Amino acid sequence: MTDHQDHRDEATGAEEPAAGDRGGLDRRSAMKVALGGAVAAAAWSAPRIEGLSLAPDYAAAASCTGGTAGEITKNSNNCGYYGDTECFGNNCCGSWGFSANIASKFTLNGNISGDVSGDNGNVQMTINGIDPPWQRCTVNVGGTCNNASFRGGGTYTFNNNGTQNSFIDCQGGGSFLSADTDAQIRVNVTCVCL
Amino acid sequence: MPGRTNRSRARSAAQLLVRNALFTARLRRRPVRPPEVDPPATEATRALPWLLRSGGAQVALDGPASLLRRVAELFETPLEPAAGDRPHLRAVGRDGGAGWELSVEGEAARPVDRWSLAGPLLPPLTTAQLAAEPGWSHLHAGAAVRHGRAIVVPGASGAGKSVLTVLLAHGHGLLSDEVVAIDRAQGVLRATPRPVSIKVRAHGPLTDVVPDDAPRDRQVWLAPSEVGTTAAGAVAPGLVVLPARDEGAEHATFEPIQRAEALEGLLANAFDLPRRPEERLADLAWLVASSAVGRLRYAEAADAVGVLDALAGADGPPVAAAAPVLVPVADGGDGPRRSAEALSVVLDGRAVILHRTSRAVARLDPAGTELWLRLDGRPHDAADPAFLAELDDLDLIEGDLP
Repeated sequence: MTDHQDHRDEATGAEEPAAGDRGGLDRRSAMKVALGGAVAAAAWSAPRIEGLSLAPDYAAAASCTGGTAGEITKNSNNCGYYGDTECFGNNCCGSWGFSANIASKFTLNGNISGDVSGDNGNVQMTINGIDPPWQRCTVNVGGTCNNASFRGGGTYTFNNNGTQNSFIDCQGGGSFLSADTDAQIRVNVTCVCL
Repeated sequence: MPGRTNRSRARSAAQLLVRNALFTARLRRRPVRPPEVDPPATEATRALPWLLRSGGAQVALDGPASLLRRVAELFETPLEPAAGDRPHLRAVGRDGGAGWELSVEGEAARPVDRWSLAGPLLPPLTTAQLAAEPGWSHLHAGAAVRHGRAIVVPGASGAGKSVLTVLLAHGHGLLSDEVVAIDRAQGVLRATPRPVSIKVRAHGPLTDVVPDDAPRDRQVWLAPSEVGTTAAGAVAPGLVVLPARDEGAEHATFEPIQRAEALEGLLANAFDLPRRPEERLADLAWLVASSAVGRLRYAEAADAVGVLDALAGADGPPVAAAAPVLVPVADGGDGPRRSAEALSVVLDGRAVILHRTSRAVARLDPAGTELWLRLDGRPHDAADPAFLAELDDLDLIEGDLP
């Protein structure tokens, strides 16, 4: 419901379902390929199916507004050194779980784990509430450590409900003596209704 | 023949452009009327909770009087004491320092202001409305009233239907910018009173339509009166318009399309197909049979509004097509036959088939339609095994293939 931001299927204003969205359509494509050549061309000329689409189900078509959750920030909170590591996760910093609710429809839940010095930082993100193919969420993971941006992170797209992981690495963190005890991870999530 | 008439209308683009300019000028002169509502006046007179009725749905509301007044403004209906009612939804608001906070159905409270207050309410309200109005089909569509008939613009969020609908309804009647109920028994489309959801660009087509203090470049929810329109009641259908925004279009054009194609477009925007799909298919077929149908190509929404206004008003109501024919299920014989899962209707010689489980929609050409009607289970000598195989692959037919 915006000022014409999207470009969609001309007939319906809705996205065409991808071939992989439904087994039947895949089989149909496969059958076309299998028939092949002139025989196939002749057979498909007439009578024919002029249009093929997928009607949404009740839940998928329910009105939806989408939205953006406020930025989620998680600081290392001066958790200091734990043995010879500084943790992203909850070994020494308490819970680094996070959650967000978007438009009373979508939820993001996740947690952050790994060691600053171990090249094994990980941000796990789980999205629920998407009715494919009518909605989509994107999660951006970024942050700073040792006065520089993390290596890794980035933008992750969820076309379906599920979990994705984002590798993060504190540049310079390999030398724990120089590790920044005030590392900060920032997570932004936006869900849109197509 | 309505299709030919519409094509000739669409050709007179120059005339329509002139109408567009006149329409746009009129549109900018129209004042925005204040809402006429009767919300609770003060905290002292407020009983808790209050009940909001929107279509067939009921929402129990609690919260500060200022928030409740704004809800009543947005929905343009007085709130009632909720004693004895069983609401479909419960929402609780509170003062949150910088503004209000609103929680719907026990979810975490969200900060809202007067422009975003309706945002958290509407999605669950839509679901409640569909459940509360089982006798009607519901389209994901905007609809405005011009010349006594409804112009229906189906489309997913972002397809441009709200902008078109609001511009069409400005100074006229509004059925909804989001949900249109089809009451085939009474031969009308029914309004869904609810706030309008739009995003106003700084220099976009809605700038002159919304209140001056409405925020720009963010989603806002406004009362129908705040966009200069009035809530309509029940209106006969007139136009069904599939929007196709085309940045390269020099001017807006309305291209008539086959009614079967329009039906396919409506099926992609039907809210409640799984419940009583036979009736839903019949409702949608009735709508396209009772309307002029076409695809609107446009770059500028104001141009599109002019074209649609001219179409709706030029020659009065459109000529209805022949009544759609619902194809009976074939239940005998061992040969290929129409599956009981395949619901189909024939409009102007073209079949549209809806698979009730997978929701696949197939639209056949006239030759395919003729063959489809002959698939009654008797041994078949069709010379089109690939076509039959395709129907079989979509689980639309049963029995032994030749």
